[in-house]
Amino acid sequence: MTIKEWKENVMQYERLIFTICYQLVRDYQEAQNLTQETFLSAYTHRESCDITTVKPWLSKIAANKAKDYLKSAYFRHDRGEISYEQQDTSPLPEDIFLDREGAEKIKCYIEALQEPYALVSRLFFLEEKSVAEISLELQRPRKTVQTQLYRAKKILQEKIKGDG
Amino acid sequence: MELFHRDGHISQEGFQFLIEEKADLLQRLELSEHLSFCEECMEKYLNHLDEMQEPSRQIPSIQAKVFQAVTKKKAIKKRDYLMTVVAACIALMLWSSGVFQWGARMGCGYPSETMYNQVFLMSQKANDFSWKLYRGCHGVIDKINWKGDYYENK
Repeated sequence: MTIKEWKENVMQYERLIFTICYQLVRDYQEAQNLTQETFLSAYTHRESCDITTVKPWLSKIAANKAKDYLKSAYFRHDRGEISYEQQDTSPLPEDIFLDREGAEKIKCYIEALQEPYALVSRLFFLEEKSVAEISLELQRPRKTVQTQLYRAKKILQEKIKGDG
Repeated sequence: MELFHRDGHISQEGFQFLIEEKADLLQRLELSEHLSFCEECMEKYLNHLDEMQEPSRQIPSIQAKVFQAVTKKKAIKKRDYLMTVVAACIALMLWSSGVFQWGARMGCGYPSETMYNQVFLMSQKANDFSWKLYRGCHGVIDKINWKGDYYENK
């Protein structure tokens, strides 16, 4: 992509990219910043872009930027909750899984989980597959599998806590 | 309500939730995570956005900000490049003047007073030269910076 083409794309897709960022982060100011960052990132990597797939390429960058923002927002929110509730002393799902009775309970919880946590949890806890194997099987990035497992563990922990 | 199908892809409800701005923080995080790697779902999402009516809220134009940021980025890149060239020139000049060899020789045994003087004179010359070089380049660097500022203030 040449600089001229990049400029044309900024003019053509700024509204679309802003809409994607806004729908994901739901903060007007932040959506503006992310839109700007998306186009700057596109400028830096313009040589690797195929001119026929600019629209999905830019949208993917925008989704990535929004994801990074939401990750840190979620982390801050999560940390706030933990410090408010002091320490979470409920047992980890893998610890409960060790005894037979606990294993049945965890199995039920995992089956009841919603996507995108159900499949990764089943493969990890019940079929004892590694993150790399799950990533390959589900065609999801390794980092995504890791974070989904982390969040699934948290949901399971909360269910265990609520139960006991 | 399920945002994702059992196969892991975003459901119709999931897209609707996102477009109608109903998804909570964690749901939006999961949706953005999936959209960042799944081309199939991204295509569906873009089709949904194409079908969507024009939003009632005002969408800001960020063109000016983006172009201005790129101009600034270019200026910084040029400045960094020039600084690297200046540093390389100074290093090359010091190396060709033999300062490093003298320094190395000084490490083995006690150097004489003349050797100290020679090293002192050479380092002074190197210092003078690098200052001249720096001042020469400074004008160019300033111009580039000024150009960046100019666009910023415009």
